[in-house]
Amino acid sequence: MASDTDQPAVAALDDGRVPHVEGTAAPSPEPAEPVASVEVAEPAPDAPDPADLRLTRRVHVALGLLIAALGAWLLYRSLTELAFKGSNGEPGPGYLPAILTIGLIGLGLALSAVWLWGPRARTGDVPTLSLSRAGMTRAGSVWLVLVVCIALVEPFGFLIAGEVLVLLIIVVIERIRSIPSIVALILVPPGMYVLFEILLEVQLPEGTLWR
Amino acid sequence: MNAIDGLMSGLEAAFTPTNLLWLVVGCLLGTLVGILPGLGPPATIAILLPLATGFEPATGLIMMAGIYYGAKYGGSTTSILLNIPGESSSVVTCIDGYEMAKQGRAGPALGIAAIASFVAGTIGVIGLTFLAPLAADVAVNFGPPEYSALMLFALLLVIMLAGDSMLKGFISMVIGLFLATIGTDLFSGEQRFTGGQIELAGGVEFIALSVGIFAIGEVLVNIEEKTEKQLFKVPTKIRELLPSMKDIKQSTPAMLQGGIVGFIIGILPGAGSTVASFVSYIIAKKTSRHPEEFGKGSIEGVAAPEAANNSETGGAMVPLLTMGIPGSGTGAVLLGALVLYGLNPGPLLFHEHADVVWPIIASMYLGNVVLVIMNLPMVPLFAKLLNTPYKVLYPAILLISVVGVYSVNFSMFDVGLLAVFGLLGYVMRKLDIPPAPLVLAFVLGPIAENAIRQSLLLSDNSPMIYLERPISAVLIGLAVLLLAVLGFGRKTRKVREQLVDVDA
Repeated sequence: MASDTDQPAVAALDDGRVPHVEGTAAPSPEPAEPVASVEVAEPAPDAPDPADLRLTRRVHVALGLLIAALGAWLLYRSLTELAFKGSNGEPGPGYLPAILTIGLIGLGLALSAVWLWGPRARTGDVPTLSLSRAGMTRAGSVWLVLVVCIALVEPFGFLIAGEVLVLLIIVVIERIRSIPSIVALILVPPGMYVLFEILLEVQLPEGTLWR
Repeated sequence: MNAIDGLMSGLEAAFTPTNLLWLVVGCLLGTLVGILPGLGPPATIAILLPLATGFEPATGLIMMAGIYYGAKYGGSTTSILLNIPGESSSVVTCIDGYEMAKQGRAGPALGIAAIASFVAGTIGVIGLTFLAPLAADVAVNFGPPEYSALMLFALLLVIMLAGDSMLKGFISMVIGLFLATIGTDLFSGEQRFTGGQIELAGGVEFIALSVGIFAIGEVLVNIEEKTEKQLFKVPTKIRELLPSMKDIKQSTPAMLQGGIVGFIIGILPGAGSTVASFVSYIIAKKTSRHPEEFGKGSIEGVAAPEAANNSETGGAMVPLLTMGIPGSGTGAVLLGALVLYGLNPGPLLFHEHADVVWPIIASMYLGNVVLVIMNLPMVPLFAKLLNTPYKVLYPAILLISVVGVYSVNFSMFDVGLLAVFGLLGYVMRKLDIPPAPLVLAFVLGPIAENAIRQSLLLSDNSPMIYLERPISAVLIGLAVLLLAVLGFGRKTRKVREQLVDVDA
């Protein structure tokens, strides 16, 4: 049996193909090498977005400075408004607040420093914050609805304030169309009224305007 | 009368149709009222006290014991389903319980809470039965230096709830400690950071802070994305609505250690179920085979604090019955009830009124049994509540939070604080700052500060008092060791993680 070593040596062509010489076994088709190979680097699936990383870093630096500033203001108030030591040298009312506010200043500055110069922050090996503007606006709107409800409780009473909250959520925030959901939501404030005021005899605000 | 004879006669007296009926009624009412945020065990007992005082002393006190246990379990239900802690000791249950609910495991979480409560509550009552005099001796030896050392140790443990960022955990804790200083200083009578608001003279209301940070903060995070998808996965098969044998087996060590830890800490007046629940949580995390699951829906993370929370009840009865010292707000209400019935809590109570005391202790055993029988079938029903579309559920959560906070002091100022802390809770979550250290530090801070200042007053400002007393010296030593472990342990973990990355 003829072996590969019996084949006459044939020079390969420029493009790598081996020409077939009559009388010899056909060369096994080898896959042609690509003319130019370009390696395209695929982004790692879990790599954070550089824009998110930058935002996260900036937010943490600002947060650290804000905490430090808050600590400084509270330290000033603690030292000027409260006695650090009592009449017999024992810890006074300002003792613990002063220590805590100094701690806050240190921790705030440390947070900013870590996010400015820390190794993980520089290499991007940190989890990013989820700060979507649309999401935060929606959450802020619900919070405002809650604040409006709370503001209305005292003058108008729990029932009306509760219904205002429910209606704002149905109409403005969620835009609910489903009738069962709307009915269920509208019944929540009176349901709570019955449970607390009547069954448990826990008095709920009636509203100063109706007195 | 020795303990066994006393217990047997107590069981005989408690096991009458009338007493059993009112025990069941008490457990049911306590659970239903305790579910409502803001109405934890102290408020629940106070609301239902008029019902109980119409009975004979033994029957009335048995009913109140049922209400107490029921309210404890009710508080766990809202912690798990809605992330609303009913009282400070339920805060730790929120951490893993709510995560389990989001993963469709609300049923197992509620079920294991009931079972852990039963197991550990029984441990606590056994401890009360046989160890009351010994436990009372230990409690008597705990003075201000011991309390301050214990609180320092506990505050360091709080950092272990910080997750990945210890720096953010410390920030959260310091903010909580600072918020706790707002109000009237007990030693000098001076107002601290009240801004002239009379409502803040008594300090920031805990329920407004905890419900705001946990419940409102969570709602605001969840509704960021407008989606028709259900927030919670609710299983349809009945067997997935209860804990499996594997869940129970996995949770057993946590339940047992929670039972023991809860009883020991419960005998210390003022330390309370909050400290018991999260010390037990930390121990469970450190001894678990799967510590990485804690904070992400670990069933042991529910079993341990729930166990400690309930066995603490038995421990808290020790100073109440033997020394007339209430260990908590609920204890204070129970003390009032004992006095109303003409009973004088103290060392002679067991001798002069054995016919009332032993039935109360016996009813605590029975109350545990009644609770687990009553609540386990209700678990699937509670879990199904999560089928409610979130856009219908969250307005109800907002309103129930408002009512719950208002019902504590009938103060709209507190409700305003609820909104402020709700925003704070939301901002903390967006910035990955853990809220649990803030809330726990807020509870522990006043106890720690008062104990430290009392200690320094006793010792003429010499800190050596902590080392001169053996119990506080041991606790300070443990705190230093813990600090070293915290610092060194994290560096070792990071080095280990880096080595694993290099090998990969």
